[in-house]
Amino acid sequence: MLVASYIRPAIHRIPEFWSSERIEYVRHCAMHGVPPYALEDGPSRYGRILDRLVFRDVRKGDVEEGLRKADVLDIDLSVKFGEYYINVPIYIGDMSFGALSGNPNIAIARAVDIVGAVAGIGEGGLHPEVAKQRNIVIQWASARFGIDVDMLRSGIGVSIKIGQGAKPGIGGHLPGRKVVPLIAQLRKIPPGSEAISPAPHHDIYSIEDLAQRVKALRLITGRPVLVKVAAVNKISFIALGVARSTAAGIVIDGAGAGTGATPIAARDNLGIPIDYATPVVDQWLRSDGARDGFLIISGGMLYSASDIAKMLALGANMVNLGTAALLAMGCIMCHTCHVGNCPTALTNMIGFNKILDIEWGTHHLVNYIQALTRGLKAILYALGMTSIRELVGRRDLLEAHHIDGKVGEVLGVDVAEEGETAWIDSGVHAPYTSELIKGEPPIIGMGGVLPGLTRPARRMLDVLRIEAAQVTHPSVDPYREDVAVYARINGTYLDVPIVVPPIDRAAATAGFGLGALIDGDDCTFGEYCLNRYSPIRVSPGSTALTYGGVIVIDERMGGSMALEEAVSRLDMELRRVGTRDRVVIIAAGSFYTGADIYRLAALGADLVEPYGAFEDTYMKVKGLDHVQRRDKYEKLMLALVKELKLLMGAGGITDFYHMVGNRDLLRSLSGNVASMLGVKVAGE
Amino acid sequence: MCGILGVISLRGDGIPFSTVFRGLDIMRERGSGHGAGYAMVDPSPYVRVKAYFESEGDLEEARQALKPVKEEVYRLPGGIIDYVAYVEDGAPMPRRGVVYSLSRWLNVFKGATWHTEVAKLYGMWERRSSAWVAHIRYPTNSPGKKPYFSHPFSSGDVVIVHNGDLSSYGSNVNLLMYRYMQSSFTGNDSEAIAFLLNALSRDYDVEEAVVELIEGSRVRWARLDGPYAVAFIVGGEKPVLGAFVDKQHFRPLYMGMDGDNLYVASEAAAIRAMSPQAEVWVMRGGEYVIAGNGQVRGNFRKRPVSFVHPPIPGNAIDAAAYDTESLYHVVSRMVEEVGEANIYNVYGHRYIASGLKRGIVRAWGVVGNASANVMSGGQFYIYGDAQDDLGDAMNGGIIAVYGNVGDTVGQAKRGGELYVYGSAGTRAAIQHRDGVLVIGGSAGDYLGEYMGGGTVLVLRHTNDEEVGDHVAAGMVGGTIYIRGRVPMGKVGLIPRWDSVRRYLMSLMLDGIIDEATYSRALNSNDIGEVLRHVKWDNMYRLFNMPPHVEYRQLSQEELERLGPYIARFNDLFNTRVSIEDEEFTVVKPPPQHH
Repeated sequence: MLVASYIRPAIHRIPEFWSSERIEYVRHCAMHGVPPYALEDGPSRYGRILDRLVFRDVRKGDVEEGLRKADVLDIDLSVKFGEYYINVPIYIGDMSFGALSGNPNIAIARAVDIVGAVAGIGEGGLHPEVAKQRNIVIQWASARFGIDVDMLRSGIGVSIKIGQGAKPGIGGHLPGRKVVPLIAQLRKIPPGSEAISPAPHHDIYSIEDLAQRVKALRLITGRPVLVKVAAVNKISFIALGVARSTAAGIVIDGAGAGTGATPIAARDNLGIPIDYATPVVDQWLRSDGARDGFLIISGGMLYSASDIAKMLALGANMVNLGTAALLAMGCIMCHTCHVGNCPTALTNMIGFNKILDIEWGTHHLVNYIQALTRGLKAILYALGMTSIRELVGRRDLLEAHHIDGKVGEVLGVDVAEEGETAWIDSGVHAPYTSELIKGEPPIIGMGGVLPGLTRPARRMLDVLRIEAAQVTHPSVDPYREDVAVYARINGTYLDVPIVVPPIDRAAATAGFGLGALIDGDDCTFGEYCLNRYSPIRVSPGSTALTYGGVIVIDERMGGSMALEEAVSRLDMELRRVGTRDRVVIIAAGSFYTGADIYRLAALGADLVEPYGAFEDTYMKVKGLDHVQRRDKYEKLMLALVKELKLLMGAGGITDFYHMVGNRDLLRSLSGNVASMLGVKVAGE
Repeated sequence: MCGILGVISLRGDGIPFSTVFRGLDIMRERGSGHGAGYAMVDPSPYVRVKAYFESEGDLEEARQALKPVKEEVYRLPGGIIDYVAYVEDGAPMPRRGVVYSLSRWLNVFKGATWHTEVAKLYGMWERRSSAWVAHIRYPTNSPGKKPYFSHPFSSGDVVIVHNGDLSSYGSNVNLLMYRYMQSSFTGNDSEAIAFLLNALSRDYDVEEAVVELIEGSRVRWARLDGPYAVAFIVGGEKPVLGAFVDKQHFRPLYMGMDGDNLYVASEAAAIRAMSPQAEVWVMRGGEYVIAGNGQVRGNFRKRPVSFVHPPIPGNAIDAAAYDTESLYHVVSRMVEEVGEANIYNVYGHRYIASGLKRGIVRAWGVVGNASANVMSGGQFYIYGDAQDDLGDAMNGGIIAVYGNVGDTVGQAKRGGELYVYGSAGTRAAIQHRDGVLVIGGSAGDYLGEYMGGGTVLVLRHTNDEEVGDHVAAGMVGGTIYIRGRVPMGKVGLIPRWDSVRRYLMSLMLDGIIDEATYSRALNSNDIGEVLRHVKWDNMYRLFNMPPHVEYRQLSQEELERLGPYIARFNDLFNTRVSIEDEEFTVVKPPPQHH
């Protein structure tokens, strides 16, 4: 069946970035070749930082006038790319043949040639039809699928993929069911096998290793080399290293970016947003004299003409659009890319009964890009500029609303109207315990979720982004290498840093089996019983004894402050008085995921009692017999620990016991939350 | 980040600076002009205080406080003043500025520039010392504009050079701040290592302190996580030089010895440049060496290999006359024009024969990183050692190395034949997909990690050391043959036996397995056997099914298939290796569990 029309977008219970309004914007562009509007009306209270920025002195009438006469305006949108010029500052980002089903790859490659944009082909071999197009960038990724010299030379550039915004520090993953014979042949792997790319390149463990790879590829191909990284805490150092490596530019992919498959734990917690990363990188490179002639290509939840203009003002030279291109070709944001039965024939398994009409896809994508360029010209016109080069790095043209001063300072943008950056709403909650009790960290397709910005965060903890490694040190793949999560309590080794709440006898045996600590008066597992250590139980914020022993900070007991704040303060206080290594801090609260455990540990908790997840599980299994219940509790803990290991591995952390209290691994999206918990702000 | 180097005379003789410089200069590619430095054993009757100031006022204040016996002042670009004061014991320290060295035994010289400039500024060419460390920097976590951030970093009588980026920095700083009352940090993780090593060596001897940094078994938050390769000197009446590398070998570290000196460096070529006759080998993850007072201690193994190389033909090109990029172009052009290129004096030149499609390249010396990458045909003979990443994404052709190779040899190799006379470093044949890799000696940790196809043969002929740990972790295809018996504890990821026993006990408590099954499972030889005894799905989530391992002689079919490669190996290296009548460990992917 040939797909050549739009269908109704998916509906989401909890708000996501890719709302039906935004999908409508893209479709309007793709159908008419002009955007419904070039600049939106006023700043938004929630959402990305971009949505809270406005151009200071732009008159709406001028923008509308610019849009009307966009085609006759003499405004230069071109970007120099190696020895080539690209007509528009748009890079369609790195979606592989395999992740996409072939026809969308062809449509993208044709569309960029028509409008003079550029497209990255992603990892996984070059589709013969894509190879006929000129403006493509060949990807060199960790698994080297299908790479040979001729292929490397077949585009206008080469891109080294270090990471992606949807899952920084975690390797590429094409599920086995999508590895059909044609894909297997192109990638040179057995059909049906999981095509897993190692999280790091095992020849790139450092900046100088990366520089070496950049030079090698430049020499072998004679093409400009780009480096694609996810936006992470140390992005400014990474970008400087890339700028010094003789690379032509850096592609920075922010948190919330799309993907064919990512663990939810990675999508929701790792890396930092592109609107934090871009201005920081631009400022850093300028201060070091490394900005001239170097391209910053920014991506991650971008889609509109206004987005492009603001990203350029924040410091980018070009933008990277991935999800938005798929939306133009019909994506309805149903988050099932990893399954292989895409209803719009974009990410479906090859050989599935639907295929995308290449002509239709190409036409709509061309329209979409042209609409963006018209919108961008209109904004430049209203700004009185004749070239996009005048706009790059002009943070002074922007003002921020509804963000705190600290975040404004990091971004280098004036805050016109201060507010709490983080969107916190304890009533909105999206636990996925029912997925965790299947025993594996759940996988999902597509991004668009940034707790605390584009979706309400349940509590302060959720506003903390977790460190992922890119370039400066390698991430570690917990499935193949050792990531130790053992903990110690008074000389006893626990295999996992989890305390099982006293909820069900079946949970206790499961916990004992896995080497967890068991809470409750009827525990019979000797040294694995919490009560054996005579714990002191306190509410968050109450004074805790500091000479030694086991302290359980339990948020069920009420208390004067949030549990996360109490843990962080106690950890620092104990260190100050010199008794930290004689005290075991247990954080007991309504926690649900491996990311919760990670963040509490980094704030100072030695062990975590996540009774939220156990209560959810109890509600689901209470009718089952003991062995069946044990099975589910066990699966819950296995999945929590795997999530924890994935997140640790992503940041190159191999030892839980020694990472406790390492606040340097966290960055806050909000300045206020940062100062309450003793961590830095994202990008700082 | 960067390139590090250390050398010590085992007899306490003076090693001239020129030796150190030769080694560091070879590693230019690891630097960026944003930092370099040297430290040496240089006893002085007075304590030497070395500090940077950013104003004349601060300098004057320090002068007043220190009342030096003698002093030196260097005015650096950017208005920074480098001040050296010789003071009596117990003199007060300057209140402002950054003290970067304070020792009567050690002397530190560094700058935010190239190694050549630092050498010139501080008159290094005149100096000799019994022990040196040196560093060339590619900055990671500071911009590299001020000399404070350059290596070496010192703390008391400890000075270190570091190549790495610690993920444990926040934890290490917590320990230093609260336990050891260290209060000021530049934010540089390497500096933290110097502080830690100095602090730990007050409570433990040097060797114990190093082990504590690697393992952290006694002092919580002392363990270094993430990549590191460190060389250090502890000054004193009897100075000590040491070096260690992280357990996963995320940073390169080579070691070498000749009759007089012990060397460590990020590149084999650097050691060869300092001592052409030295025996050189790659260290494995978690290895350390401590040398001084005529003794050499540590958990390292020597892995030297020697081979009498053929004479260099008259038409060969002297690689010393070219930098890496121009050598690449010269070689490519020659191969294109006359079908072959011979090069000698190769000292770490990178990318040689990368992208080669046809023709012959012969290289004498130490071939640098990322050579023979994406090679799809032709022949490449290396008379000497090859460093890291040889044969990455190789599709075809033949490579022969008449020496050792570094880490990650044959990564994602999809075809062709790669022969190594000596041993391989860590992660040999990672993601190997097709073709053949034959290693004449042994191989480090993670041999055949993620391997997807093809054949890897480890002959243990030129070095019969056991292969490293985690053989075939994540393997999905292909076969690894290792001569001799590799214990199951070295294959895949191994769980702690205590954990297995406790888990089985919990299954028995819940009646999921009976007592007989419990005992049978406990008597298993390896985790794969346990998994076969127990029918409980979650076990496969908890414990990885190890790769399939057989100990046996090769079958007739295997002898026939592998015979030609062994014949080629013997032919290339003039050996008489036979694979008949030998026991091999044959490793294949784990059986699929559904």
